[in-house]
Amino acid sequence: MRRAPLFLLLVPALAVSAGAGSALQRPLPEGMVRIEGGSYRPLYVQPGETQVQVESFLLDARPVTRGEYEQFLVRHSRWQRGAVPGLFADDGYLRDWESPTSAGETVPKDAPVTHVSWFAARSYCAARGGRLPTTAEWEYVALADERRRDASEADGFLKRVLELTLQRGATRAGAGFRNVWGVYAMHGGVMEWVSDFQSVFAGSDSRVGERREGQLTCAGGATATGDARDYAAFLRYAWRATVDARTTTGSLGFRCAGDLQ
Amino acid sequence: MMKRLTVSVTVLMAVLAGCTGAPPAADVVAGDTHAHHDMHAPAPVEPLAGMSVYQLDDVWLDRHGAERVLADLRGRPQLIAMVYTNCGSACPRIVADMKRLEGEFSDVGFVLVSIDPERDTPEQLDSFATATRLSDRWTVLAGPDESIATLAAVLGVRYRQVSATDFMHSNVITVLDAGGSIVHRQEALGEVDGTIAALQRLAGPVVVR
Amino acid sequence: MGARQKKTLVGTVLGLIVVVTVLVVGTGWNSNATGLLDDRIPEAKLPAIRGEEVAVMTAAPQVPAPITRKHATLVKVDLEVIEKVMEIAPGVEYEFWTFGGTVPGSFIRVREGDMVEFRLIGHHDMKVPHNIDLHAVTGQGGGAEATMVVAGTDATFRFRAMKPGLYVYHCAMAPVPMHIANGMYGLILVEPEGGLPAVDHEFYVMQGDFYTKGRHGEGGLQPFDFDKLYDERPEYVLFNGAVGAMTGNNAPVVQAGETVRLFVGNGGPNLSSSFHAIGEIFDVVRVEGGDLINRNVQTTNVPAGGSTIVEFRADVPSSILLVDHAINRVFNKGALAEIKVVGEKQPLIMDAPNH
Repeated sequence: MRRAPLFLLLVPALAVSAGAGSALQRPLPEGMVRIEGGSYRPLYVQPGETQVQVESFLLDARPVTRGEYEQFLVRHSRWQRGAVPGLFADDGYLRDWESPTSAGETVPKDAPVTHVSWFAARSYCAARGGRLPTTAEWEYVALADERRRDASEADGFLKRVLELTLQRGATRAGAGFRNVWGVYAMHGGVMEWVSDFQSVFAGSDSRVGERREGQLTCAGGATATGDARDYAAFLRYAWRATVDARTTTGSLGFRCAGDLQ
Repeated sequence: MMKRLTVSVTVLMAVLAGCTGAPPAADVVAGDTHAHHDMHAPAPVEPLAGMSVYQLDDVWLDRHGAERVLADLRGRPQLIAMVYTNCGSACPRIVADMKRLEGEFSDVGFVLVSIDPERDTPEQLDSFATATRLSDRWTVLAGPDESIATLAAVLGVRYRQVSATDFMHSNVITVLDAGGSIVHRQEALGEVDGTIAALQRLAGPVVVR
Repeated sequence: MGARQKKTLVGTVLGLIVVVTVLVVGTGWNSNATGLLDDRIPEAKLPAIRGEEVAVMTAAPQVPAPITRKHATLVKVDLEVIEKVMEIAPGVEYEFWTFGGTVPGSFIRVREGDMVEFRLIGHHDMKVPHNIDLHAVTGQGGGAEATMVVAGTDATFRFRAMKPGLYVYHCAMAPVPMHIANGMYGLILVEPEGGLPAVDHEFYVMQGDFYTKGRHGEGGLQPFDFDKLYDERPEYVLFNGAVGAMTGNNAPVVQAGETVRLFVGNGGPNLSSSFHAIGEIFDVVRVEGGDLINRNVQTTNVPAGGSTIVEFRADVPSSILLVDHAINRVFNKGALAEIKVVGEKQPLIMDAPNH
């Protein structure tokens, strides 16, 4: 079994993200890269709104790993398996771990941690002084390929992203491609928690490529879709619409974000 | 026995270090900040169940501006819904559904929590409560974004701000038992039968008429 | 023309339309009352539910036994969503998304008036969320919004089997075309109160189109191909989810002279089926799985998301080949199933040197 050199992940990232020279006045938190703000057209847009604005922020270059989560549990025993009240995680919480404190060696330590609830992910990030990324932030970074901040119109990008997404198994934290921001595995690893997953409505019935909120809404108003060919994005939104905050599954992990000062 | 999990989201979010390169704030732990508070709290009657919503210890403001935690609602069943007072269509019907039950059950409380922290100040909640003639069995609460998100997460309420003044949100009315565990979720407007059945199991019908 | 006059004129015209409408509608109702053509929409029948039972479900080509009970009951259906790699053709693998571990999904058989308690279960190894829309359901989304599940969760709802017929069910989670293209469909039969006429054999056949990155027959584990789905250019058009799923050693065998009923569905997602049996004539076609009976049919249409029930007497020992008669799909894409008929030659029906 390959033993991951954990310390490598703890070395502060000297990532120079695109156009982020000024950010280097202060050292970036370890493992994080700076994402310059901008706007993009999301899968679901509001009537009269075609672009979503994202402020500059910090994002983990990789999903949180099993090894890192193990370290977290040393100091935060309340989040060990068996100690967490049902309100904050379902029965599957860390079910693939060897023991309440050890992830074991069956799966590499640098694989993304999964079987964690939204509450658990949020507490982990808060303990690091950060937070979960918002849907808008996550989707914004997910648009990038190796060379472009927004590759959504590039030939073959959507198809490539879908193929990565459909790969089986939680691949290692550094898997997938490193995008122009210096962020890895936005696609092809695990699905990831976002802070505001609850803002996605159960538009499960999206076979016509648009959502019908109907009775669910006070403000009403059907929303139009962005690119209905973006199947990977549909899968991500389907996730967000289906999970609740207690849900834990083997293909749902997370990474943390942070605010710039 | 499950120990009360003292994740104070409010506190956690308030101390976000802002990622200035400081070492990870190891002491900002789920529960650690709150442990202090616990020592000064009155001895709990009984430990809360693992599924009790009252494990959330976010601090809210009621219509009089007084600080409240959800655990203050312990002791009798509660009907709880998340609304916003500027809402023209669905929210009045949620309130109407709850009011229908007020006459049927004497020992049940009613709670409205706002999803609009910007507009729904205690003053606004107070005028709303007056305008809609809410009795003293109703608790109306306002809190910060993070507290709203947390409560919505445990109640399974989805919501999103869609304009300067409006939100879309699921029309869920939740029945909590005396200890704060969820016993029923009414997911559609007007479908009070299941809610009534749940309250009857908890409290038994007490007609006040 | 003054405004007032105009108003009067408009009023008169509207009045006439109302009168004419009443006359037309009235005539319609009168003709219905004769019973010659009763196309009125019936009141919903909601018989009392007595007892409960657990549904017996089968994988294609098998069909659960006909229902003999004479009353409506509560039928419990547990269906598990499983994503799994299986052979789509000899030497070619594909990751299917399934209802019950097979493509098509488990056959569900209930009776008109039954209350179905339906539980969709997400297998713990499932990678994406799923749900189910059963065309037999009267109500929001056919159950789609009530049944969204991720790995390790389940969701339950109840529905009344209001109308007899053969109905498709399928996953309706975004992106729906991909879920269906990966095999997420099956059939639910709602038997009429008195049941269907007895036959010697019943089989379950369901067509679907598949979109692999490699060309038809290219070996190994083949990924899903978005562009081909989008352009509606399948590499495989199959009965029961694999090349050869119902041919050769996998073909059902019946005796000459026996009667056969096929419950035929088409999951799509894209292609309609020109369903045909080579060397057989359908004695009875229950058109689109409903009440309408057609007789002596050579080829019948099965739309994507639709069904048909065909019945025939297998008179002559032979290999009856079931095909989509859009014939390229048979020749190059795999749309072939088979029923073997064994027994005595029937020269009075067909006499050929080698048979």
